[in-house]
Amino acid sequence: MLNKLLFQNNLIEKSLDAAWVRNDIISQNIANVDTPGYKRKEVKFEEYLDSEMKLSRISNGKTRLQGDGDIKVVEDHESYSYRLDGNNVDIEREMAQMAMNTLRYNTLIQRISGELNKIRTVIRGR
Amino acid sequence: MGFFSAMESSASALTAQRLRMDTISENIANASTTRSEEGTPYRRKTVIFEAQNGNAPFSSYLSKASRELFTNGGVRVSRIVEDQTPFKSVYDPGHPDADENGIVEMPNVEVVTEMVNMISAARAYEASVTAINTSKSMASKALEIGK
Repeated sequence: MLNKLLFQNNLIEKSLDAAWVRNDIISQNIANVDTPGYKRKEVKFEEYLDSEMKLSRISNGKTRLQGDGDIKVVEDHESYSYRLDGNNVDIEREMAQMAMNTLRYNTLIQRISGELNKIRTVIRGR
Repeated sequence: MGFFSAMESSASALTAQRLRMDTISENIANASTTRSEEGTPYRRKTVIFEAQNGNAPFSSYLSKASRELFTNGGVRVSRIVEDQTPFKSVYDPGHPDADENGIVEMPNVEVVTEMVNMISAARAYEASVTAINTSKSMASKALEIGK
């Protein structure tokens, strides 16, 4: 029973991890905004989560979202580079992504605190 | 996925941009220096940025997710190079460094270009400061879990 209670938290934890890595990657992109030839990096996680949910692996507990191999960092070679130095970091986009990522992260923190509070209430029984 | 790696990347950018700013200041300060140690007028200096990929922490080898692209990716100045564009020739016969035709070789520094570069460096610096603050707030938010 407790396993089921805590399973939700595993998902939130994983999403928090992804948000943390994304923050790291966005910081790297911002740091390299003036580096010639640098290609921006991106974190792929939500796509993976979505496909796992569609295959309903999550509801029956057979998800592979446990280990480490699912937060993918990829280099983005497709984004249009409007600069002569071959760098495709767009600072506005990175800052916006960073703001979105922080909001997502704070939401997840709130959710996991809520889940833990629920469990606490159950344990206390009042 | 180190606890402070995002802040370290941003901090490396702060260092690099500040060095760039120092170089720009040097260029502006020497915009009309006609005598340098090499005997030529002052040559404009530029910094070369390079993405930092080495010294990945142990944890990145440990974790499968980070084996490929996810390393400590800050930025560093690989070297400072001198701009080899020709010096500007100015007619000024009264100048002590003028040749027999009255031509003085002035440094190849364009003050307007330097000012534009300076604004660009200042903006990049600000962006990194914002990134550090965001990382900081995320890290302290994580301490609130379960409160």
